[in-house]
Amino acid sequence: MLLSYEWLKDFIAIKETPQELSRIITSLGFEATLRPANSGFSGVVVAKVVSKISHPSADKLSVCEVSDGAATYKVVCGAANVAVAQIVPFAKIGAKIQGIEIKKAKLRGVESEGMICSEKELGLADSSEGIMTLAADAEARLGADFSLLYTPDFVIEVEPLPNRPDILSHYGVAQEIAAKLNRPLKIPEVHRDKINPDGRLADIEQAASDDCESYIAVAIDGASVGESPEWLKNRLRLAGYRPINAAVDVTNYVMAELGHPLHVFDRDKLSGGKVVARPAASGEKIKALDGKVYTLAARDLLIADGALAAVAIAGIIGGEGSAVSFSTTKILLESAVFNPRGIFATRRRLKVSTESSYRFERGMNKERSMLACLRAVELLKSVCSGRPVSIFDHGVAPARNKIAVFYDKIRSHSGVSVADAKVRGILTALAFDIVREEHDFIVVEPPSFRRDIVIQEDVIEEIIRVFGYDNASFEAAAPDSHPAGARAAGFAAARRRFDLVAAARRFLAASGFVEHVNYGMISPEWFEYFDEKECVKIINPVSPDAVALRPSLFSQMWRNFTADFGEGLETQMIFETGNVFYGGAQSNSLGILASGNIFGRNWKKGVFVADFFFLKGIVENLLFFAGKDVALEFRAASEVAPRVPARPDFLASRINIMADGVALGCVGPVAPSLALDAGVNAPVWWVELDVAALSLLRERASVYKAYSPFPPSSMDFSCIIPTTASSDAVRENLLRSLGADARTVESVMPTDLWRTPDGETSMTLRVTLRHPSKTLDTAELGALHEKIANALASTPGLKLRA
Amino acid sequence: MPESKEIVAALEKIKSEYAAAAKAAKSSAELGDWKAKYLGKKGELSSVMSSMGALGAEDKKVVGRIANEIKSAVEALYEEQLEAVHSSEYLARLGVVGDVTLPSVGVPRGRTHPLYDTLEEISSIFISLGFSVADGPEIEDDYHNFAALNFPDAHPAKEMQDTFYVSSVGDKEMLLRTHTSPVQIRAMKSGKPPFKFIAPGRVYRHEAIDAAHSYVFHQVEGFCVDNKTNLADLKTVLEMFIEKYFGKRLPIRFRPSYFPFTEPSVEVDVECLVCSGAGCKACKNSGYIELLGAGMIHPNVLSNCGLDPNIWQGYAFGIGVERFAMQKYGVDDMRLFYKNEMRFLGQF
Repeated sequence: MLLSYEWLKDFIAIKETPQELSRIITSLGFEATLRPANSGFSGVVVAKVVSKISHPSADKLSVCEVSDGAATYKVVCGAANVAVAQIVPFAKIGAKIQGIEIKKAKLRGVESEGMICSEKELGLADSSEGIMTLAADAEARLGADFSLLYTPDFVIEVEPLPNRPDILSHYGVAQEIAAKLNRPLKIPEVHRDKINPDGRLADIEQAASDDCESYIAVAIDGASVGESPEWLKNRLRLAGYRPINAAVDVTNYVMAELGHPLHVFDRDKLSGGKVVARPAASGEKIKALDGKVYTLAARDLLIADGALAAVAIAGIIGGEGSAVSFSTTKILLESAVFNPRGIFATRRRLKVSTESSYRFERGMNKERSMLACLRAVELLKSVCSGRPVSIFDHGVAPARNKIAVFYDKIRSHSGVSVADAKVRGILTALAFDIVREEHDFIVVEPPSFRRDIVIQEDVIEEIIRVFGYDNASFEAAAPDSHPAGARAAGFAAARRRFDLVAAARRFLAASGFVEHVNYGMISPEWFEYFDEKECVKIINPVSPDAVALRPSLFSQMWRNFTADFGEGLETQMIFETGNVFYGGAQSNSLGILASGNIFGRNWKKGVFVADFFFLKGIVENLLFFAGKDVALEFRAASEVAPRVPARPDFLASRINIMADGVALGCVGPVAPSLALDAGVNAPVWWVELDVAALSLLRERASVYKAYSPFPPSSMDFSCIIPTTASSDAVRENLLRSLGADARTVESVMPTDLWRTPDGETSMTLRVTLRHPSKTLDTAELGALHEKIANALASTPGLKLRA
Repeated sequence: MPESKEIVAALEKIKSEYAAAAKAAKSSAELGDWKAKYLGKKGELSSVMSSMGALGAEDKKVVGRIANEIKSAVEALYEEQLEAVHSSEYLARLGVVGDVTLPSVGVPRGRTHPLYDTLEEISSIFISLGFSVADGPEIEDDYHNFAALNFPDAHPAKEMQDTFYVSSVGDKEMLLRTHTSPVQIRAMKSGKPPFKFIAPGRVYRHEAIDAAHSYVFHQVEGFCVDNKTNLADLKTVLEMFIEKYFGKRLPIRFRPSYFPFTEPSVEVDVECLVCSGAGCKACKNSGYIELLGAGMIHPNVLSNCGLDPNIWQGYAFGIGVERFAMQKYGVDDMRLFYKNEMRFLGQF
């Protein structure tokens, strides 16, 4: 909403500077920004084009003579619309336009003594076609400084709020300021004489009566519709409207002034000289003022003429056929109140939003509608010389709410103390009626233009809003007066997830991983790897590359990885946390991707290429540093593909990560199809973990246990192990076979692993022994060596090497 | 037969020579050879001593004393030199550090993302102020995202938050939550007051991406309900939060605003960090920076959660994480947070 600082002065005495006023409006809850207007020119005068000839050597230029009443100037003009007898803004030599001085100049060989200006050049409009022309009445002011017509002003842009259509007007904002500054509000000049009622001017069909809460129509005869006078055009431009013709301009002017949308029809173009409000027929079409043809649905409200032909989409946009033009003499002025829901539904479906629909869908009211109607009649009289001949008035204003407001509640709800008398003063200034006054409460009726005020809290907000939080002395609240947070199990779980993510982020960054944050929507190509039916698809995507929520963190991290890889980043260790959506579930996920030499390119040529065992350690340590106490199991996923129909996996193979039988996630190398497509030859490893599952793992609670003070002894055993046996299985079998002697085994660690020329796996195991209560002597060690060798040999398929 | 004088002379010669050679030994092996040269079975001392059998008892005594002196001196020197050699061998194994300006090796530096750092920091401060954590689904229904939060049906208030709709489960229309406020509803419905929660999370608005807008962003919702909490308590909590977050006390102010789910609604501004309230470009000359939206939870919202608004009341607030992060790190384009470029992430 654009407001003119000068225009506001029509309704309230203002001593404040535009800056101060803008701050006051902001403090009332309407964010206001300020910019100067009509300030981009000086030395521009009102002048008349007295002659025009073509430029001798340029087709698109003309040479005009321009008179300011005292002298005549020769001007080269490039605008196509320049014509003799036009009244124009003329920048003389020495004038300044947007900071640039106008100098004598030769244009294609012809000297020009100034410039005829356009709205855009003068800074009056963002765009303009050709030069600006002034209304004929400006001829009386030839030679006058243009800034007398377009006086320097300020435009205050106010952010609208959905619940406050009443502030979408100068009068509405002035009322707010008046309440804040405790100053009287002036009511605009309206038509006061009685107009003859005429029930034939309009019909509201029964089926339309719900959507058409009120309908006022005034027939105005004998109008002459020309261009609006410059003062009106100036104000319209400041409020952001393009002048069209005087009658249409009046409706926009009144809307900017009082906030109520109006419409004018050319009554001669209405069959029967009347209008009918009726529901549209399904599929009915209307060509609107914006030149588009709209197809309506059965519930849409239409304004039709006496022959029931559609002439406007009620409250949204007028029809082209009934528009007021310069030749119009009979006007039908409409000031209605349409049901906000109906307007909202229709204009959403038609995908159109107008100044009018914007206001109706926020809720207009009968009282303001009548005021706006009479104000427009007054202006149509003065600007178009029209004569109101009859009026139609349908519908009554709904009864106003009565709301009890307890003084105590104001303080206890807001924390702000406002004196009782001040409460009443503020509400009265905001046009609330106080209908009952008691010692501890009042009963108020909000003004009819405040459809948003329904309950006591709404009224409290009004009081505090105008009173001002700046003026409020909040009653200090002790920090410990706050209630303790609920400790229900469900919420503790959310806290555990939060803590786990925090710990994981810290650990991974300390381990060399870089955190990513992605938008989290995937492109359709990923449906090759994820079942489209199991993905959450966006019905109205912002971009064709973001059509579904991510089914895995992998999709976007892979894209980031390949992009960086293409830039030469061969080593990448990245992670991300966030929700993923697949198979009807939302799960909080942690994704880790690693590829290349984890030491990075380095001058010592140290190399450790990220692989399964690196990521295994990362996952183990991550949980350790997240305070978890778990023995992780890594198990290659079953070879049998469970998914039908077969869909390629983005991983070449999967190793499931489990703890105590609970699935925590998986790890695997990226499928060659993806890697090779992206030109990545190096292995890329991926881990995805379920944060919720991790967060539920047992917390580590370390308790000291006494340990043996006696020295350890180590012995190595080389063995050929069968391909089916894992090092875990060998160790477990060893400990089981040792029976009671297992307690002296401190650790069993593979220290070497290689493949023999015969294709067998050879492993060296170092067994470290330590007795809990004595030093093991040579004889005992010898005996244990034999036992261990026998135990190892008892593992099926295992052969001890000599 | 050698005379005792000759033997003494030979010993004196050894005595005068042994030390120099020891100093020349550079390794423990060389030092061992040196020791053997004097004390070994075929060493110089042995060969001198082997010839003293013919000497008289007195001479033997004198020669023996000298020989023993030499022996213990050589052994002492050996021990001493051995330690010196070991220590220089150890230093040699250490290698020469040489160019200390070469980059480190083997300790790659990771990074946490500035956006999630901000989210975590904001959340942690509220946790330290006694707030519990709640979370909720990002795919919501109209009821939790709008209706229960007092958004009138078919009303432009809904259009304040342009919405993504998603393929529905069953016949219910589902959407991506446009704010973290639905967590209020879920938390209040599943528990008993008093409540004091934060709900950090990801939200979606259907709008084009530019420097100041994103179709995905993050919020930290906070709310507190009991039978007396009001805006003054909110102000106290926010002042404590701001002091912890910005590291100093900063004045805040409340400005009236509108949200369907709060009544009254306020925008909370904090004094501009750049100009301390004097007015500058960063704060558009207002001296204050918009921080968050807040208000008293609307009685209809409480009723929708089964709470009697005549008994229960409280505040709610919503913090835009991106905005905080942009301010904290001086980032002027929100899109940078989602590009994941190392040149950006490497700065935090």
